[in-house]
Amino acid sequence: MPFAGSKTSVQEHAMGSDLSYTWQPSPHTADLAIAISASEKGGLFYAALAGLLGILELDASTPAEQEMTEYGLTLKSYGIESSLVDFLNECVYLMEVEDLVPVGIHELTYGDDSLRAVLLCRPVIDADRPDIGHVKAATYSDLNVELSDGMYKAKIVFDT
Amino acid sequence: MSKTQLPKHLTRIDDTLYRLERDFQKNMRVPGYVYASDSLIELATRDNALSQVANVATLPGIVHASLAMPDIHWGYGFVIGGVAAFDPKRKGIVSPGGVGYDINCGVRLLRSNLDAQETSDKIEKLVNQIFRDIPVGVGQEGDIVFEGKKMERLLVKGAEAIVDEGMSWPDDIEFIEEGGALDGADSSLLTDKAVKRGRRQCGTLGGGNHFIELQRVEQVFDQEAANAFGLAEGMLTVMIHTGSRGLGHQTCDDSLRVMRDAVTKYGIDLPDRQLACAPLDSREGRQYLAAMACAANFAWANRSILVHLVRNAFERILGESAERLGLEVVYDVAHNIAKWETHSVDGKDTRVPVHRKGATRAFPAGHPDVPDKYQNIGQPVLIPGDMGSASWVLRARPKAMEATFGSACHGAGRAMGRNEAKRTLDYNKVIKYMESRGIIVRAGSKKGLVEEATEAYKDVDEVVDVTHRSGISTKVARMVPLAVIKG
Repeated sequence: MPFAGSKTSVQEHAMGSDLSYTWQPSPHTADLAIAISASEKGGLFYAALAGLLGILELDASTPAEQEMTEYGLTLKSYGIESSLVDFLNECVYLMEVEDLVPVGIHELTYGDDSLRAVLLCRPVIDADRPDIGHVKAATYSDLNVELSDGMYKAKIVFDT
Repeated sequence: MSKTQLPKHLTRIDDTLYRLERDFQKNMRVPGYVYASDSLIELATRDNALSQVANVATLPGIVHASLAMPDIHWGYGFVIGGVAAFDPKRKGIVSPGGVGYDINCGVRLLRSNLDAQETSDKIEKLVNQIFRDIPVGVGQEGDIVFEGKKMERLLVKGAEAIVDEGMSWPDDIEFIEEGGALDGADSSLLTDKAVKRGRRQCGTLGGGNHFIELQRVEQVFDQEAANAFGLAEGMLTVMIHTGSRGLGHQTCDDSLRVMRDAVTKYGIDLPDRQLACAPLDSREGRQYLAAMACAANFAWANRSILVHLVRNAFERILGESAERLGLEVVYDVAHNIAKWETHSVDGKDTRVPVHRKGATRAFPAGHPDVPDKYQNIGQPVLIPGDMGSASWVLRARPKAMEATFGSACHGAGRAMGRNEAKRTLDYNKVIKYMESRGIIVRAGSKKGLVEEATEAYKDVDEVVDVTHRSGISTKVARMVPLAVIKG
């Protein structure tokens, strides 16, 4: 089922969208972790990206049109948990290697077989560099998506 | 924690050792053993650390026990400080989660002919020069490029490739674990992404808890061993802590995807997805070890280039050659790795892949893998502390081979999460504290520095004390930081 985002950052999209999602830091002794929740499974990807940007403390405002790059990705799906990890690790790779900070999701289609997304990205700037890659990778540790009180919830631990 | 307050099925064996009985958690094939004092075990009960020790005990083919060193803390998959070995004849597995994303994160220690006190007026210039010369921060890249055939050679030859590049001393190789290269590396198994990430990262420090420290040997506890290691009270030493950078992280991530399928294919039941694994005699298992070896070799090469840059900085500031300054490698240890080693299992010498996730190899005197110069002493075990306290050199003892698959702790271990550190600690206070201890700090990231504050870590002296009293490895020298470079 497709989730239509918009050409805005995940932070701004959350404020004006029917798709309800949140994130917050979660305690973990060794690493960084976030707790995410969303009204629909696809919303978890928005929450996860918002959480990644949030714990890295990167500027996640919507870039100007001329600075915006759209980056399409297609990932084979092994279930929502694995897809979340793969999605986040693609985002980490983009920041570290391609000098692109994904700040929004324009389109996202999540199904049994695959995850397709078009990410809205802005260029990495010098101010980002001390923070980028503060996360080495998203891990599978303790990652279980559960439905609770009408919301899909999960915790994601990042290796730092 | 009083004995009566211990969690159920956790038994205190003595003042350095606890046992997780097999009833601690379901499906444990072996018990868990945690080397810890009473206060360290109390810390371990506050998060999921003990559950992670128990989870590893459920893995197929595990032999003897799921082990944890005194710096035990909650990780992902394996506990940090975890050690486990698996017998291929008992359907044993290999797990990337038992190594970690930073494959061959490790430590290299340099000695010198310099007295720290006599050199004190040069310390700030030295650290400034090193900070200028070495790219710091995760994701940061350097000027040295490895690609194509050059990268392939590096991934197979490790530290020796850097000798061939003229950036390392041939004599260093003997004092690097595994001679600076694991056999069996197959560079064709790395993805383009992994290679791309590593292209300009060999010779860079990274962030997080990676560091370069200028230290003073404050106290020698074992004169015979200190003499053999070339250490003396008052000496200026340099410690480097880093790993395989983005290449290693990507290799782990790529491998976990493969293992994800393997778990289903081979019918392996897991309590935690991060323990995804494959049988040792499977294609997936063999390929993981070959890819992991590439990343491990990259890390040794990385530390060799950093040593080269440190030596250059010393030469520039002090106006003497690094050879005359005696900047020699004492030793280099890996603390995130899985390696085939021979250990006694049920009374028989058996080749097993020992997984060390935040744990250091500790081979005693007489072991063939210990350098000739240290044969009578045993391998140096390098234990970095947090940036405000101390680091240690220990010597490995025979007890390590009997009890822990030749393993010891790797550091202080975290006591406070990174989020909590950022929330509760103040950057300016952290800097003031370091200044009050006379420690010069250069950091790539304010946020990173706060996360690495002394309060966020356990007491390294206590961790080392438990290791010493347990007999696994014993104290040789304690070093205190004079200057720290953090990513």
